[in-house]
Amino acid sequence: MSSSNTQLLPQKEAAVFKTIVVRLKFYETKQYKKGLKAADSILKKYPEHGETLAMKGLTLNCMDRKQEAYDFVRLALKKNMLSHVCWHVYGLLYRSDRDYKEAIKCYKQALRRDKDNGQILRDLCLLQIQTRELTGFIETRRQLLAINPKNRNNWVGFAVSHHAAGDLDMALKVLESYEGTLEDTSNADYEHSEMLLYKAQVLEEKGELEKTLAHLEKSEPLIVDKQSFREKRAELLLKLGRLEDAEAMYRELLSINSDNYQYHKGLLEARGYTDDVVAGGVKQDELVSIYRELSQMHPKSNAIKRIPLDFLTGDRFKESFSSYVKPFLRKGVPSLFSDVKPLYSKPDKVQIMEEVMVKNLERLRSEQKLVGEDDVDPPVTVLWVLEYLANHFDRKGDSPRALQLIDEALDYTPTVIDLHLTKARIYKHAGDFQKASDECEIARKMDLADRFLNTMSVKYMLRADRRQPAEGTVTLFSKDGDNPNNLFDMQCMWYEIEFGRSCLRSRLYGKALKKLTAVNKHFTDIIEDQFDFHTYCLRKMTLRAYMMLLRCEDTIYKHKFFVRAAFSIVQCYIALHDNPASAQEGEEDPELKGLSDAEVKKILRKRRKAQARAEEESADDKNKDKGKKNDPKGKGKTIKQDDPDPDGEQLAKVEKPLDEASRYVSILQEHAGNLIETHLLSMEVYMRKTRLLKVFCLYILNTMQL
Amino acid sequence: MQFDELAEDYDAIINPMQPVEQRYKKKLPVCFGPITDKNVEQVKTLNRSIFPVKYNDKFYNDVQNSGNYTQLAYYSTDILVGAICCRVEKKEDASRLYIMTIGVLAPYRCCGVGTSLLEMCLNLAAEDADIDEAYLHVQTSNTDAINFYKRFGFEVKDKILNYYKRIDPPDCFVLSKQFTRRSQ
Repeated sequence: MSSSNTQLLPQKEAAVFKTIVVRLKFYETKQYKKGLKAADSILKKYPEHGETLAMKGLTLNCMDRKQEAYDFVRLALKKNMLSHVCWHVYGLLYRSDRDYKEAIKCYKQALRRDKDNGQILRDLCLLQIQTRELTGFIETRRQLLAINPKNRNNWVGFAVSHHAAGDLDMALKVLESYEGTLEDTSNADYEHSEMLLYKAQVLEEKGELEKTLAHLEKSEPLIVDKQSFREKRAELLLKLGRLEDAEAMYRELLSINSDNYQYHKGLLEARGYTDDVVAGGVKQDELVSIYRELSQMHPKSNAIKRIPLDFLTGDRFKESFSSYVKPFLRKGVPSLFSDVKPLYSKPDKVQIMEEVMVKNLERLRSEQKLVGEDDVDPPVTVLWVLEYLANHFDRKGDSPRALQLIDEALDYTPTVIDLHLTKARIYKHAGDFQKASDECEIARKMDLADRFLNTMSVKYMLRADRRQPAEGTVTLFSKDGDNPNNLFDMQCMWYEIEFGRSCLRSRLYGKALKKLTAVNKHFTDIIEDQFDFHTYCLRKMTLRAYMMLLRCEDTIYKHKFFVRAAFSIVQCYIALHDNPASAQEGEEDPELKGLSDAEVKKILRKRRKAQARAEEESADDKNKDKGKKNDPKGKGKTIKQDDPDPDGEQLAKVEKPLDEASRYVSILQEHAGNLIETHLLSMEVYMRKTRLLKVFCLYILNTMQL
Repeated sequence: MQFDELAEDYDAIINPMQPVEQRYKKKLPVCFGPITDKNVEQVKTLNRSIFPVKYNDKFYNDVQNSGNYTQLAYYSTDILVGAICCRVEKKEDASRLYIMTIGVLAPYRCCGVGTSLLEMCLNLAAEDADIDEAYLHVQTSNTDAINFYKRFGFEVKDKILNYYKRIDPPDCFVLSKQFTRRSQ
């Protein structure tokens, strides 16, 4: 019997098979058990049937029986090498394990048997864009378009593939050919509108600004995202030097949102005032008149009141600042200081701001009035002046004075939580992390329902190396209570980084690596997460956003969270290389430093007690959890396995720490080459690898560039 | 049970820190909120700064169980400036409301905050069918405080000798306000 004959099913079984495959009835509705049953019923009669074996494998894969799944699919391929279904399923298995390279190979095999299979082509192109195999991606997109040129997604998909590969001319040609196929373009639907805006983006990236503008203006009636249209038009007019039109456009935008700083910047540039002019304090008269007029038109806008502080100098600045701060001081807006913080780059302005605020404080103390006011102010105004001045002197590096002022404010009204946070920040800036954490904890306890305060306090605890209380506090606001995995699942990176850095300071390299490499995993996941958007964005035609996503993912390792984590990871590995024994070394406890033996014993005894109590409590909790497991909601959930290396001991026992360090260093060099720390750390690593010449060359090269 | 800490409660309303003519004379707009297990620490901070004694945990437990009778006064929606702390004493047929403290932070006094707090509390009590009386203790020498409470319908009901341990005179009046029920 030839193999092809065994692979043909009689009518009845073929119908059953269809329920598994073609309609994917059981697969899509996740009725895996029924799917298995159906497959088994066929295999009973025809145990050699490859495609059924493959489908059984796929179903098993969904039921988390990985090894069996692979076994069945490989067996299926042995029985029927020629079936595209078997190859496709094999690819799906690899894809579910994120092994995209193998998956691509399988899909290509499947396509050799069935070259026009749309489903396989679509799956393949997802993998190709995910792995940025752009040449293959373009080809697959071309095939999809050739198979079904009536489908809009196939056209834009083809255009996007060229765009992603940097071939703007082709992208544009494809879009134009697509437009040529449209018969009726008078309907302004969202998808078409996005396509038009996307085309404008391609044109603009090509540098053909005139054409872009013409295209936009011609398409205006069909564009539904009017705000994007206006913004883009204003930007183009400005770039093309059509300043009067640009000004009119920016004024229109300001009438829609007078607090958008981009619009203000555009308006000023259209009038010939670049950033330098604004910051340099020249041409103040003209700027003043523009803003006087604007403030009449938009009396409620805060930006219009704030921006003149950037360009005014001397007495004008003083007058303006003095009236600008009044409503903030009266209303009690603690963010006033961060609002005006950019002005602190100008020493003369700092002087003036200090003068204004000190005078306000003096007058409030003596007459309870702000400078230049006749009415008595509510008793709370002086509080915010004190808070402002505390921040002011903190910014100037005068911690004693800042503390004195914030203490006065706290004496005056000790119930204001923001004041405690300010005090904590002053301590932090002064380098006293212990006191900063104490103060932050006071703030947290005053409002236990406030997640922000909780987060701040945890951060300050970690800066003060109080890791145990931090662990207890951070879980107060996480879903599963004290389950530490929860923070990993939520990709809570600020916590992992601060915790890791704290461990690094305490030379607990295993624990540090555990938390810090978790950050690396999150970034892998973030890259992974773009997968769904390849289909979604094309279907919804959100092409501009899609291109932004692709570019964002390509440069994701630039993100400060990754860079911070990577710096510390490299430091960990360097330390492990320098002193391999430190992988096992216990904690050098900062609390125990410099204490007498008796005191140390006392503290240790206390800790043991606390630990015993904590263990008892957690045992109780576990018992409670057991009770929970019976609830119906938990049924479908797969129970997560316990982490085999919770404290990162294995991570610290790495054989070649420098190799691990090099891995991170090379990512840093690619994505964070603008930071001097990258090159200093690279140097540290290479020096230990005794590649002195490379060290020298790289160091010279990079520092010269910086 | 001794309540010598309560000697200070009315001081909070009456002693201004600055000369009156320089002060903000308008009524300070405040809004009210309940005490919860989340913000109890804020109330402790408030009371610590107003009264020279530290109240124990029982005090704050009673206060949290007093329903709406304990009220916090916030200026500009989130600055806690004053509080009235009460305890509901259950008897067989009806309950009594015991006012333990009324306190306003020094800078915010003389602006009607204490009055608003007491009014709020008494209005609630008047609508509550279970409560037939509100009462409190006040040092016999503190005429200002006694007059303050009389404005709200409180009357001297009793005098307890040697009620306070550490202040002179050690005697106090019991001030009481009865609620008459329309239904009765």
